[in-house]
Amino acid sequence: MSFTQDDVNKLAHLARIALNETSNEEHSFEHSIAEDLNKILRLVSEISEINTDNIEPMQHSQSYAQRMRPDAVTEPDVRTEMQRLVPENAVAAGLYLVPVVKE
Amino acid sequence: MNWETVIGLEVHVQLNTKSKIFSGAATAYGAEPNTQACAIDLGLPGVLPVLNSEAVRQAVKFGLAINAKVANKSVFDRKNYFYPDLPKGYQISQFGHPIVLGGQLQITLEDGTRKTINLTRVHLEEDAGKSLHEDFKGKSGIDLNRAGTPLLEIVSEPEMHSAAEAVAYLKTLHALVTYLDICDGNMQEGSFRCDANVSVRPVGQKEFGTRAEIKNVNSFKFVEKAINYEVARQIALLEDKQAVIQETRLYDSQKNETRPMRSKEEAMDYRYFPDPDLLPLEINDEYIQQVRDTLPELPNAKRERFCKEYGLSEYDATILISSKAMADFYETVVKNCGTANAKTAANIIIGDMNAALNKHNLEIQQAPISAAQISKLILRIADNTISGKIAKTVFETMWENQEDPDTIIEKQGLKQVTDSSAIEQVIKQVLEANPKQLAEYRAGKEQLYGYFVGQVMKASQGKANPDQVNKLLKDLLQQ
Repeated sequence: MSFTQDDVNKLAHLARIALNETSNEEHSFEHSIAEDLNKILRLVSEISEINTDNIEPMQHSQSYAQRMRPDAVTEPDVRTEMQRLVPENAVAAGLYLVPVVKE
Repeated sequence: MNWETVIGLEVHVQLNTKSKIFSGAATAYGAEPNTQACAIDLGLPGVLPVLNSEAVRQAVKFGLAINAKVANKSVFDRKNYFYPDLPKGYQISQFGHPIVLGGQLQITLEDGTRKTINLTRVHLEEDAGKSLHEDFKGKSGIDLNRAGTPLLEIVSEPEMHSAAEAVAYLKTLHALVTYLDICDGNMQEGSFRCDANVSVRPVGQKEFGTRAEIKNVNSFKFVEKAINYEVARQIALLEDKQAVIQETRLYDSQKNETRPMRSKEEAMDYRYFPDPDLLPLEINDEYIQQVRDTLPELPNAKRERFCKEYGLSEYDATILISSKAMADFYETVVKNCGTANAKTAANIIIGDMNAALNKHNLEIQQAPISAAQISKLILRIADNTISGKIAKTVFETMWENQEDPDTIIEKQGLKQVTDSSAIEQVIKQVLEANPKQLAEYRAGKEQLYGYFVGQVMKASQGKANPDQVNKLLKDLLQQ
């Protein structure tokens, strides 16, 4: 697997990251990122040389099971405290206001 | 060309826990915006999710009810996308290792045909918040009360071949989750939401056609209409040598059409990966057995029992078990009026009661008539105080002013006439008043019999006992 500039642009879009560095004379910024990512992938791909046929896939670095809590309401209403954290004009009628997101 | 429709359904069932799946915030519907959204639901830095044991128990209960494999180990993953009602930037879901695998649901179609639909998987996930698009100074308002509410996503195999099958599947599933008491089933409030994957292919072709996904259709009626519209749209495209595009479409119930929701260019890539904040969920067999022991009688078993115990037709039993509340109501009535009257009880509940409920848009729990009152009405039919026909009148009055059936029968003088001489008197009057018809009948025009019955019932204001009328009328016509 290797990264192309298009892949980099797509990932940047999905992660909502702006890649606005100016490109140097030979290569674009996306190109150099793609190169860096490819180096990392090559390093990681060395793992696939190890035989894992009889090893159960690992789901987590800790070998414990998930702890559970009883179904009880323990959190109070913290709307006032939370809405104090956002700019005054970004709250109305108890709602958080964001740019229109209609489909 | 002949086309075959292929439908797979994804249903989101909101579990009826008191608190959220990963936080201790309340899940009650209709609270003031953002008053049930805590730091965990808002995804503030430094918080950690802790799994709600009741959500897990309900998922296992569902898995057992559909005869599925409950996984001893399942994993929570992050599904990444940006949307303002998803504060963390990811939804905690299950991708590679869901809690429930496989399973079946047996559906019954309108004509009584049974069909088994296989399920692919069932997994636990958290709901997102709600975006409100009314005008807030040209902005959208976000309410995060729903963020973190536990959902069970139930995915079927693409094994349904008509909108009617899809609706039967949804109704069966809806009944099952309410029987199991893991969901309130309220579709208006979004507790039971459906996405439909629809495609068509030439009859006989093995490969699936390109599918479109119709999002969030929130009533059985609209699911049927949306699928029928979509099938017609796809067939028209293909017959016109055009291609169906794989996309997400939204159903507009006012215009009765589906239209594209997200463009192809923005095709989603959710970049799932295991959530490092949550350890694998381990469920042992002993726990699974404990949950199995709590399973209630399920709809199919109840239908069979109703047929056997109460001598009902499969059709009647299917209507009565369609909701747990309806089945419970019926059984309370039968308990009061006796198994001998079970069939009459079914007729009244399926006929009069359902018609009145539909007319007033009510659920059986909201009916103004109690099961005890219905039983009383049935006993009055059984002991010949009133006829089945008059019972309809009594029922209507009961519904309107909640009076006791005996009071209504007394007040309105509806008591059935079982006195033979009184009935004979009425019949004689009717025969005298219709000499022409009588002559024709006696000359061999036997279909006039029904006419005489009608006239006698009319003359007695419906109060004459129908069996006696039949018997006496036959005798008198012979003379």
